[in-house]
Amino acid sequence: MQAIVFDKSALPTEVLQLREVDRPRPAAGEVLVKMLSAPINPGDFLFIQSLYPDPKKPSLPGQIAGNSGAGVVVEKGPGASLAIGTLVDIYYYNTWAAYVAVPEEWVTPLPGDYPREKAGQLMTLITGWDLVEASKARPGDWIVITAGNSSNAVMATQMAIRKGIRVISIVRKMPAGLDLRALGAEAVIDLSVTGDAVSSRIREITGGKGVSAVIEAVGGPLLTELVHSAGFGAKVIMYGGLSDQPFQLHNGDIYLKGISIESYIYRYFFRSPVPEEQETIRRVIDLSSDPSFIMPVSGRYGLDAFKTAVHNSFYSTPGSTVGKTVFSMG
Amino acid sequence: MMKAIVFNNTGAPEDVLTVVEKEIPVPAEGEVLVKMLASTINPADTFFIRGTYRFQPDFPDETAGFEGAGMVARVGKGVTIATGALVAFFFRRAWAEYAVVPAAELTVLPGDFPVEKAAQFSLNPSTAWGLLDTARPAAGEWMLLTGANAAVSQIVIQLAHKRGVRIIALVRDLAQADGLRGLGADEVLDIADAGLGKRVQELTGGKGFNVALDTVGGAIGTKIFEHIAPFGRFVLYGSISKEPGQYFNAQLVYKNLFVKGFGVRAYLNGLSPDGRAAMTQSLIAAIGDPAFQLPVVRSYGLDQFRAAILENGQGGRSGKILFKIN
Repeated sequence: MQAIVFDKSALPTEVLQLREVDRPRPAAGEVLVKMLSAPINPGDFLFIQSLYPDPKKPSLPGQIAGNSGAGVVVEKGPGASLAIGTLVDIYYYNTWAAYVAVPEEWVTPLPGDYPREKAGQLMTLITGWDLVEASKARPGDWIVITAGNSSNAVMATQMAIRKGIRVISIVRKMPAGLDLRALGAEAVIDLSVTGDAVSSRIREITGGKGVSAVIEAVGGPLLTELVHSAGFGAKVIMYGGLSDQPFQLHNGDIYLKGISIESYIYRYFFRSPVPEEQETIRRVIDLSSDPSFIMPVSGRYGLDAFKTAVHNSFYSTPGSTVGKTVFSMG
Repeated sequence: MMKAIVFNNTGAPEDVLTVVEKEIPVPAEGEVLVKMLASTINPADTFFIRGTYRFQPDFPDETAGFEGAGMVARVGKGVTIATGALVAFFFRRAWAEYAVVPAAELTVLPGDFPVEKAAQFSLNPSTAWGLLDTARPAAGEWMLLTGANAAVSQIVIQLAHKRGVRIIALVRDLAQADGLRGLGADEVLDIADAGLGKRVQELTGGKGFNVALDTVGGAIGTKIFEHIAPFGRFVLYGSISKEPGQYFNAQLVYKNLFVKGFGVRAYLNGLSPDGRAAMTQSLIAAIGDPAFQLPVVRSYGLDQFRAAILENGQGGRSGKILFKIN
């Protein structure tokens, strides 16, 4: 079968190769999944460069890249229970390939009628859900979402408005081909236009109330300003850092307003889903299967076009494109 | 009649305070008349007298002082606390021979609780408790404190040491090191020491500390932040440095850190009645232990308030200045 493989950890544009490898056999408790699609996420690049913390480390040489995706169960190892033909989402390893063998606890079954073009992005959906949950925002509260064009932010925005939370989206530049207002953001602050006046814009938009939470993936001076304009008890939920500059805060900026900064790492980074979480996962799947829930894709590539796909994705300016770049195997 | 330390204008305490004779107040429904035994001098008192506290004085003859302890002398309607009970409070008008306090603001202490500890029971111990409850250091984890010689920190160190937490105390003056080791600090370091980071790494086996309680910020905040372990908790509750600290998102996200600004009022308001009762009972048990130290540097009578204020303003102490009353 075809797979995108690397033998050493370095820049993905340098070490990835398309290779014919043996189709894996599902071991006990595993299923063999015929891949339909696999997104290219920033985390995949960290994995290839061996920049993820343990235990998410490549096994070299011959590690197949890709840590998430979707496909159909075609074979079961001894003791596996999922039915052949089940559409599943995977968060594991080896997904940039035609087939992958996965321990059952790392796959999530999707409804048979789940839109095929949305499958493979459950990680982004759950991230969006978790970010909004962690914000503890209640219906009617205002929150700010930075890096507003990013896939995580687009998911979080749509999750938040479905809970009655009011969203201000902050973008570096208004994206082409994605209308954040149409997705439910009540206001979009375009930094290329607003410049340094973010605080006053937020005060204006919220009628002086300020925001109860910031869902944050940028850092630098923008975060400094957002903390200054945040309300009492506000939460910053931080899951990324696109700025190469530090944010600057006095202790007083934090404790006089009882602000907290919580970092978020994908909940299944260190462990697989447990049965008690099935209800949440089902809700996320239900919400996202609705046609009004948009999951943009910026480009689809076959595995054999990996060089272009990886190059475009790795060197894209954050915020310049909208949606995931995905491999399409089906 | 009773003595009270009052002021009629906001300003520097030494300029505006004076001792007067006032009527002993009468407790209304739900209130208690406390015959004061001792009161503390806290930073909040100075803010209030200067007019920079979160509420303004009620002139004429506003009585100063927020924290103290005494005996219940009389109760208003609907109050079930027994006359003669030893009580502590952080409320208002504590620098006087008698104070009227709502019953809900009082903590009833065991009758044999030392008066000097009772006077200090209502503010710093709750702050120390809240800091630990927010940062949640576990037994065996390393906790770093800045401003480690402050009254709150001394309580934190004793409570945390008893729970098996390992403690790195940062101070500006190593003359305080022996005292802090005696309270339970495992290591006391000069906050300006250039080898600080290296020492922290050595102590923690290269992992970094798990919890920081920081009252300084600025360049110190930036520096200690580099040595925090994954899943660390960074609790900020003061800002001695006037400069901002600098932090990268990547530091927080990669190590999955938690940063929280702590204020004791918001913390106490967020506790359930049961949570608050549990805190009070734990603190009574811990602080009532004769080994637990809440040091008092000197006590003054109300008449000697000028000397008390003067000594309090000098700083560099390792304990409280009290008014001893009645």
